[in-house]
Amino acid sequence: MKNLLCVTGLHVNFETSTGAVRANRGVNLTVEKQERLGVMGESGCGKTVLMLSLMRLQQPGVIAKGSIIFNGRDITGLSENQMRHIRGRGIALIPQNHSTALNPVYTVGQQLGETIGRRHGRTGLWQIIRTRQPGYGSPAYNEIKDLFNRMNFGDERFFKRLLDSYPHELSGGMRQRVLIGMALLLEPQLVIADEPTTALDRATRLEILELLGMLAGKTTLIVVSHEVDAIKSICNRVAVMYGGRVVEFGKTSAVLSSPKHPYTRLLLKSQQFKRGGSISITAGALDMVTFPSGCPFYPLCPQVMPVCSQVEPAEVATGEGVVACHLYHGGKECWK
Amino acid sequence: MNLLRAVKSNSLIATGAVTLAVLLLVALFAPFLAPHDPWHYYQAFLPPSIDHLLGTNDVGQDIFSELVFAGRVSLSVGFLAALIATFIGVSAGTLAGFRRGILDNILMGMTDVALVVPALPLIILISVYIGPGFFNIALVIGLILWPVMARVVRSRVLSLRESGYVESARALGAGNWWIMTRHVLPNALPIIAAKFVLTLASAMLIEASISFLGLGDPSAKSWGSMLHYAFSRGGFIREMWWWYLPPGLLIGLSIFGLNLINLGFEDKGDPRLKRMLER
Repeated sequence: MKNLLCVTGLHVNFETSTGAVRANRGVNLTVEKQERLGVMGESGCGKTVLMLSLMRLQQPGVIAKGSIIFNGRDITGLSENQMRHIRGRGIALIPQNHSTALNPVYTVGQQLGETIGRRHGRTGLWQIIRTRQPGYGSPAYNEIKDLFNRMNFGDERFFKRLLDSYPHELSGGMRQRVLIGMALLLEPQLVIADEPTTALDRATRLEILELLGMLAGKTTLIVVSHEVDAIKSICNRVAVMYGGRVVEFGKTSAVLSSPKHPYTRLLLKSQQFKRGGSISITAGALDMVTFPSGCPFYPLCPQVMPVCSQVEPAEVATGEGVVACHLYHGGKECWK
Repeated sequence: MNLLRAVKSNSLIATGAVTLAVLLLVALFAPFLAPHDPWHYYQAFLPPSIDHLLGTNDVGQDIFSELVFAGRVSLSVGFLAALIATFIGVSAGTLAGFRRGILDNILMGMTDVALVVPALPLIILISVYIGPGFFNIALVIGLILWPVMARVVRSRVLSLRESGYVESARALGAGNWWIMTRHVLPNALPIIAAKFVLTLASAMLIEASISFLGLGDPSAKSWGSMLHYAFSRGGFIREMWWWYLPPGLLIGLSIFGLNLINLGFEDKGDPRLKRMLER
């Protein structure tokens, strides 16, 4: 078993009054054990839906087709109760928005303690009613302290104050660190960080992402992020999504230094801040209900060919990676 | 400690709480405060005097002592009824709001029916049917008042269940029961507390109405039943204001105190209301 996670042909639809919104249209993705996978793509490309689908939290979205094999088991058909045992211990999610992800009426210590209690399977009525902060020197306290030590919060006084704080008393960066700690305390096999840094400033972003990469240790990690630098330093493979599909997938070094798909090229270019402004990919959002036939990117593609508007490109293996573009059909680039 | 701070910081809550606390203490220490045994027969229809501060009633019972003891029944029936209504209302509202679906439809359909039927005639009907008695009255009032609580709690739970921390708790493997009791209910507590105070006020008012109509427990003295006897045994006709005025005032005072507390809670939650009050 080399692959921890294997997603094949995943279709996720959201039924609306104007038709099904096809948020994911045949996503293929594999994640090896102890791998760090980065996921990039613009807003609305289906990243978050994919991440939520991996935990079966995509409701009201429906997994219409495809399979998600986690640890050799297809989780698309599992019951809610079976999923509950996979969430947290199997796959843990670091949420996107740190300002709402912590419960305002409990201290940080109580919420971290709750998480540890969950790992020990303590879900009895008594534990539910009695929300207790781990006492000084208790095993749970020491465990949380070890983790935060690794985050360079070794100062005992500072740490105790952190545990006694309510979420609103902390800065955004601190809250995000608490959330990362919370996910890692469960010792999950796979950690999904869905844009863990969107609500933070740029300086804190890189710091948090690097912290995440460091803390994850041997845990398998999926990071959704737009920080090319951070992805470069943490991830060994990258998937680029567009229009509900993975359009390019390969080794980080290969994808970032010599992108194959025209979309990836534009995406990377748009992130380079240059004098005279950066490049933007404009044309409004895709209509996710009535997808145009052919490649979803062809209206914007600088290298568009007649075939692009007719046939949706299949995924082609190109050396180390996979790319879904007509340019590479036949295994070679056929443009000038 | 937090509760104490809230009471101190808000003059509305403080005034209401002190009023209610005084009434509760009087009821609690009634045997020590009442100058006479309220069930002992003295001379009937005495006007106020040093010995009988508020005179005596038609059978010669000391009205002031009656008043002190009647607070026990009025307040405890109110509290018990409000607790019953809160327990049922919070359970139903949380379940309906959190689980949605068919359960929501059934529970909310029940509250709709209960809200449409006029409360007082229904209570009169039921209390006549099951007979008077301390627990019967509290139960009937509780059963009438829970739908309002359920509605309020449900709407709060509906917004709480979509919150970020509920989603993140789910993503870490928490089940429905855990999320409901640990993350949804504690956040709905302020609104439950405010609504509880209002429910208590309604319960006391309904209890007084039932007793005034003579449907209350005949063996127990409550402010409502005192009014009942003052009305039916000639207190009003003889203009014995010391008989009928004090129980009415005490009912009014307790409702007033409770409404002040509720207003204080709302004012804490809704700053617009505060500005309105200051104007």
